[in-house]
Amino acid sequence: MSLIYTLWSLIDRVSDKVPCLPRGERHGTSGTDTDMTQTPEEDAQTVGTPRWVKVFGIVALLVAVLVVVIVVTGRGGPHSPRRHSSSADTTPAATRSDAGPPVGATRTQ
Amino acid sequence: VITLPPAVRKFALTAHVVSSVGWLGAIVAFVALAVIGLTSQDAETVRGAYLVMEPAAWFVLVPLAFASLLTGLVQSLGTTWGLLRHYWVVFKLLINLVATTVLLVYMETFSYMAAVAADPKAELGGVRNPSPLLHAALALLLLVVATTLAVYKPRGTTPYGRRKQREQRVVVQP
Repeated sequence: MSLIYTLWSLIDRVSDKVPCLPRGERHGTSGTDTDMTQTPEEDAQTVGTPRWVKVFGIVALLVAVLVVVIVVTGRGGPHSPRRHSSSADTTPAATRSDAGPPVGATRTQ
Repeated sequence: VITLPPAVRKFALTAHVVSSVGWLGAIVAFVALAVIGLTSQDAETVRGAYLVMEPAAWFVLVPLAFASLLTGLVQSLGTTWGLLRHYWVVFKLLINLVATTVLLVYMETFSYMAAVAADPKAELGGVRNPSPLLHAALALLLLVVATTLAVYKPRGTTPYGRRKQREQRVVVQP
């Protein structure tokens, strides 16, 4: 949580220094509406990249880096995303020829 | 951008809302299945939970994911919102693409877990798997974010959208 708060504060400070935006627009506190829009025409009046887009972008980037690190290092253990792309033998005993019939097969008469 | 007639636009919007919210609801059911698989004391119930996940995913999650993606594309390309003109639409598209891709890749894991659950020699501890709960919870979070974006439509036009807007103004006011 503290990481998110730090990032948020950083973005907030950076957006305060963007000269092309009046302060109210930067914070969505002035005008007749807040940060929301209901029509494409309303949205077309928006200038610059909004803060929420920067936050979403940073969070998405962090998540992507985290997933790449987990896949590359294999730190996710047997449940890591590596297993999805691995060519290692993930065939359970039930599907091997030396294993007994699956549960469903024993129920057929 | 091809502007759809109002009746078709309403129909496309209804189809998109139904498929997207239906997908979200199906994931809630998967969270419940995953919790049952991890916590139930009944061996047959635990095995049943993991056995039913694979066919349920093929028959419910995958069709709803593609329906949500396709109806979303129709909805964005058929209205003045466009596909790449507004940040909230772009983020929704990315969320849908990521969630659908991870789901398709994860189908192999569903198959693996079903085979383990069907193996009478496999111990219950080996059948239980926290992976579906983790994936379903993350998918739920992503789809809640996408739904929130669709409802609130936060402001923000992409550089491409701003350029298109300027081009349209030039055409309208020569």
